[in-house]
This record gives sequence, structure tokens and C-alpha cells, in this order.
Amino acid sequence: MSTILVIDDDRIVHELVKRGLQKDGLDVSCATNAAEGLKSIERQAPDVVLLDIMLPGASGLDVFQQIRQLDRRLPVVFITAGTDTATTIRAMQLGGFDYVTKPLDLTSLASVVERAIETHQMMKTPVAIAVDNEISADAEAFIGRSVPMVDVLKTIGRVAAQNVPVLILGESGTGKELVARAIYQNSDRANETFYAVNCAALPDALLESELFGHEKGAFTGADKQRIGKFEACNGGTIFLDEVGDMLPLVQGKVLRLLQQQEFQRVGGNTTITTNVRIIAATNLDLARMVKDGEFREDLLYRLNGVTINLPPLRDRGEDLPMLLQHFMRLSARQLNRRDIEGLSPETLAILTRYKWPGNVRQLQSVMRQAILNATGPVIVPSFLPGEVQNSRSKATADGSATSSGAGDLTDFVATRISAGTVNLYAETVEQMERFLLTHILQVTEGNQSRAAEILGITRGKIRDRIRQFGILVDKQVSIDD
Amino acid sequence: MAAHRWNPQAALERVGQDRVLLQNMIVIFSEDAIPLMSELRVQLKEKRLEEACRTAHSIKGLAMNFDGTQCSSAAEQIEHRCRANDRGDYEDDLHQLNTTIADLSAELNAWK
Repeated sequence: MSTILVIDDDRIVHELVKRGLQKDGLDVSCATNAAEGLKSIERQAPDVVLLDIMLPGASGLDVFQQIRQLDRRLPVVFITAGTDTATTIRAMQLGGFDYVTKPLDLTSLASVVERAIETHQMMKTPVAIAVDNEISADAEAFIGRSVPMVDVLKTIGRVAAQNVPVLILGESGTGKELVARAIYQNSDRANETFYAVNCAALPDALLESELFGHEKGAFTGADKQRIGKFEACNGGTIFLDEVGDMLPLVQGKVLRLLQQQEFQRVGGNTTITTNVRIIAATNLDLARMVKDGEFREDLLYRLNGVTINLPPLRDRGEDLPMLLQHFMRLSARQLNRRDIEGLSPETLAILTRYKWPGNVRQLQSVMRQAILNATGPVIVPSFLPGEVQNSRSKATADGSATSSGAGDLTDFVATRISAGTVNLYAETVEQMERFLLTHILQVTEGNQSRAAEILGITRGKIRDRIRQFGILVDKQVSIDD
Repeated sequence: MAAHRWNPQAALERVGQDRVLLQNMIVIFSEDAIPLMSELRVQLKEKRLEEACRTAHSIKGLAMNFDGTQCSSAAEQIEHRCRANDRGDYEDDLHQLNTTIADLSAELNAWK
């Protein structure tokens, strides 16, 4: 459960936040002065602090500096009475996460707090760059030994400490945000602020205001001055996700910021200087967008100081078993299902054949759903979500999987008995062997030496069985019917 | 007749239509505003302006919770004068603040 600490002498604010946010499952504690609040931070390590900008006997800014000394990554949301704009701007420039003005609106407050919690989680959860299986079940981690993933990890290691923009390319769900966080956490700016902005999640006008801030009266509804993320993140790192969704106007402002580290708030004339490292990501083809006139070429060249291409899961065959194991362990732990023992061979076969259009994110979700559905300790195909199970039916229907999958073993045995076989033992062993060889060659992406090593048999025997069963060893391993 | 000093519908909207929460907030306003007002009187009488500035700020904050602009403006006036180290007479300002607190409190409690 996430913990919110309110430091404010106003008991009405205590009551409002407590009753309002506890409904959302948050744990809220309150302090009425700075000393009490700082003690609570040391004792409770909250996820977010709501801080009155003017406390009895202390300036909120001084208290904020003390909080930063205790934990530089702890998001602090200032509460203001809405009249002291100079102090509020200063607070944001010092690295405040956001500010809310009285009278507090619970919906808006809950939204700010939710974003702050997410940001805190991103900043504090270690990204383990590991290539073995000895990873804590709690850690978010790069799992993989496949060549493309090892290349990604090497690149992260090379660029993290260099103060250059990074462009991360990859399909949805491949882990672009994880890469951004790994770069941030291993950079010289690791103790400064990290903000993630999803450029596709905000309407165009709001995105410009979110990034650059606005002056009072800049547009309809701009009833107060607002500090943007680039100003608040001075010294830190901004992750611009879905950067290909930015409109040309915002692209131009981001370009100027990259070139000169300068910008103006929306509706403002004052030039503001900032020092922000930009990590951008997209699943769109930016080069094609440049050709089509949808994305500025100069911005593309500025953003891709270094480009990291994240491989889709279907190109990481060798990594799949490790990823399944990791997310099964993680979900079992999160869902308190310590009885879960593993996947049945049928389930593994289905998951291995599946194309994973949603990549690692989908895999994580599938494992979680499977464990939620599991009524026993072994994950069998019926526990898998419908779309994954349906892919099995589709494969069986077109005949491509029947002869290679152990998932159909029960059906196979029943069919052979109905057919009056008198050689069921040999037939079933062959069926199993065919499945095993095909599956392991898929896992090793056709590497026969590696398959022999995993199976504990000679390469000669592998070659013999490939010929016997008519297995096509290509990038995609399948049975030649 | 005095203009409405707060908007109950807007206040309810802000707290997610939670009437009990709004009632609790009103109780706290009634409990805290009067003692703060008394503190402020003493601080101003003894020319402890820095403390008076913070107390006036606290009263302003209490009133702002209900969008009580008349009351918060009266408190802010005192806050600004104190911040400017104005050692003059505060009786009129105190009277104005006291009146607006009483009016707001009456309206809040009438709704409750």
C-alpha cells in the first residue's frame, strides 16, 4: 500500500486527504509542523509528501530542502493558498513534483498523487540489468541472453553516463520505459528528478502546457500560471514516451530546447533556461514520418544522439522460457500463490508457439491472468486467457500444430485408441519426441549444438531426428507435413 | 442581504459528493478559526508581526478550503501588512476579519 504524508497545519486538509484518499486504498498520515513531518519521513519512508508551502515557524521551501536531503527522489506536492505565486514558482524550480491550490479538489488531487506515486516507483525500483536467473522476484529486470537483448544492455551501459539524448525504438510492450529508467538510474543524474510524459496521452494543447508551462490567461481556462515539466525537471531527466505523436508546434519547441536548453512558457515572453536530459521513445517509424512531413528531420537527428532498438519478443526465442519463469514467479508472489509449481508441457507449447503481438507486457499480463485463473498448482492451457487459447485452436485447425504439440497428446492418444492401434507406446513416444525436438529447436532458434546441449544428446542424434521427423530448421522451426 | 460566501454545490463537487467529509471540514473550521482569531489579536497587540503573518495565513487557508473569498481576502490583507512590517493600527482589519469569519461560519453551519 502506498503511503502519503501530509505536512500542513490545516486540520481541514488532513481530514480531506485522509478521508478522500483512503478510499483509493492509500495510507495517509499527517503532521502539523516541519519537525514532525521530517521525523515521519525518516520513520515511514512515504511514497509522496503533500507539503504546505507556508508552515508555522518554517518556510515550506526550507522544509522542502530538508526533505531533499533525506530523500532526493521523494515526490513533494506543494499545497498553496493560491496567492503566493513567486514562492510556488521557486518551489517548482527547486524540484517540486507539482502543486495544488486551495480549495482542494479531490479528483485532481487523487490524479496528482497517483502520478507522483508512479514517478516514485519508477525512480526507486531498481532496474536490474541481469542475464541470469538469480533475480529477485520483486525486481523489474531485463531478462535475456538472446543476442539482440545483450546488445541492448551493452548500449545502455555505454550511454548511461554520457549526457546525450537517447532515442529508444521498439514495438509497444517491449520495455522502452524500463530502458529509459535504466539509463537514468545509471547516469550522473540518478539523484535528480525523473519525469515521464506520455505525449500520446494528452491533447496537443495540454501537452505543450504540460511540458513548457503556461502564463495566466495564455488560453481559455488558464486561470493560473503553471510551471511545466522542463522547468521543474532542471538538472534531471525527462522521458518523452510516444514522441512520434507530438504535433509540429511542440516538436519545434522541443527542438529549440535541445539546441539551446531554452524555452518560453505558453503565452509568455520570458526565456527560461533549463538543463534537462531527454530520453525519447516511440513505436512509430520516425524516418518514414520525416519523409511524409509528419516529423521534423532536425528534431529526429537531435533526439537520436544514440538510438536503441528493442527487439520484439518473437525475435527473442531463447529468452522466452526465462521470461515465463520470471513473470510466473513474480505474479505468484504478488498474488500470494506460493502453491504454483509451474507450467504444464501443453501450456508451454502454446506459449512458445504464440506470436506475442503485445510483447513482454502482454506476456506479463498473460502469466498474471493464468495464475489468477489457476485452481491448482500447475498452469494448464484452460487457465490461459482466451486470445492465447484461441491461437492454439487456430494452429490445430490449420494442421500445423497437431503433429508438433504435446498439447494435443490426450487427443492424440484418444484418436489412436479409437482407430484400434496396437502400437500405442511407440506412436506416443514418437509424438512426444517430435514435440520435444521441435520445441527445443524453436527455443534455440535452430541452433542444433545448443539444442543438443539442452537435451543432453549428441548433435548426430539431433540431425537424425530432424531427418526422421521432417523438421524444417529455419529461423522459424516447424514440421514439414 | 449578504452575498453567499461559499457555494455548497461546488464544495460537494470538490469532495466527491461526500457530505460527511464536508460536514467534518465545517466542524474543524468552527473549532479552529475562533482560537486562531484570538491568537492573531494578541500577536498584533504585542506587535509580534512575523507570528501574526503566519496566523493570518492560516486563517486565510482555512477559509480557502470553502472558497470563502471574503474571509480569505480579509485575512490576506492582514498577512500583507504584517509581511511589510506595518506596525500601525489593525483594529479595522481585525473587525473585518472577525465579521467575515462569523458570516462564513454561520453559512457553513446552516448548511450542515
